[in-house]
Amino acid sequence: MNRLKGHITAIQSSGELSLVDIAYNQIHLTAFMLGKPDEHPEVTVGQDIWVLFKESEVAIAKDFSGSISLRNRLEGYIEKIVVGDLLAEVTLKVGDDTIVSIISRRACDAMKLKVGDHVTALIKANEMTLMEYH
Amino acid sequence: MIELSVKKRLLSAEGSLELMLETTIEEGEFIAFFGQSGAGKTTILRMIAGLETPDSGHIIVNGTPWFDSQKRINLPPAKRPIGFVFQDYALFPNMSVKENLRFALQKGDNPAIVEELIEVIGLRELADRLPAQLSGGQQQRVAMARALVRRPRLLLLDEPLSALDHAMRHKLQDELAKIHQRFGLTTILVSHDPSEIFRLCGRLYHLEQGCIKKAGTPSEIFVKEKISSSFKFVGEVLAIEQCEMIYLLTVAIGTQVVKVMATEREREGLTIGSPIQIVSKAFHPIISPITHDDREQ
Repeated sequence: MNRLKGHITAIQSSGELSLVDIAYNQIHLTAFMLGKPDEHPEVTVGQDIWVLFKESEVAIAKDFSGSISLRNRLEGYIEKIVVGDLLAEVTLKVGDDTIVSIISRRACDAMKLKVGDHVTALIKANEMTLMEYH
Repeated sequence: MIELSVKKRLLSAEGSLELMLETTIEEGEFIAFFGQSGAGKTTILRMIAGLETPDSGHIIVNGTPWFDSQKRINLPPAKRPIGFVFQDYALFPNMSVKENLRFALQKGDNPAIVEELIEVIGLRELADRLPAQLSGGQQQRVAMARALVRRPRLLLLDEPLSALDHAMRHKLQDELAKIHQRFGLTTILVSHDPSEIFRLCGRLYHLEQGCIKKAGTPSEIFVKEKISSSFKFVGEVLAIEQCEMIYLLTVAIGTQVVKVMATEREREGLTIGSPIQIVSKAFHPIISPITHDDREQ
């Protein structure tokens, strides 16, 4: 599980659905949350929060241009790549944090990913889980 | 109305435990005691039934003291009008269904109740069979009928359905709800199955280490804290297999066994038998209706 420490800057709600804005360093992350905000006292504006997301839900883009619906974009450098027959595990350095992406070996080969490459990690807002920060 | 105020020191595998309970159960309620094994759930039922004696306190049912340590009152089990259903059916193997029910009658009881129960609980076709000729679900229905022979006002259920498969459990849960209504019972269920409690009970007590940690309706206790925007399950690791750089965990969750993908970091510290918590956001599920036939299978 990838884990980043952020700071909640805004919460927008519509019925049982909320969109939570999180500042992580200079980067803006968003997470969807089900349930009314008052059911989640740990999620309030101004609070520190853990943002969690599974390695297998992290997509990678290289030389990225154009527009894309994914709201969560983390730029970093590839620190390590481990390849299997079907899978590739790509470790990225994003600022002082490390995040891991598990993608298909084919994609890794087709993109010619290698250590040192500058890439963007992309995560959909509904893949982001928020956890109370202690 | 049942007034419970009891204390009892229990010895368990993890050492001793002080069971302390103080509550009131209204007539006609269907309530549950929920919690992990060893929390003291069964002991509470056994104290109400008179099978175990509290160290101190009182149990007063509709104004009649069944137990009062100060007044030195302790009614024997046979004097307490209750029905008790256990997980194992405890039927007499050498008696037919009907004979098992008749055997529960006491002097002065109207034997017509046996026929009424056979009718209501749908045992007509099974009445002359021996327990060994019945399925688990059928045996438990007989045990339920037997618990009602003495027309108790209070029905105690100790994990009555946990040995049955999912479909049968569902069916008997409906049956229990019907029985509770029809006989105007006050029913106390011991269960560790939230879905069962949801279906049956208006109120529950969450026990931890012998004390009531929380009390409320099933949705107050389970939904707000446990489900809301994510699925949260507690399971046990049965197997760990490596597949390239990821791991597949085989996990038992309730009666289901599922495979879950884990990364190296998530797998760290896990061994066979480790209890784990699995949380998933509620965005993913693919939802489709199931027909009644699917459930029966």
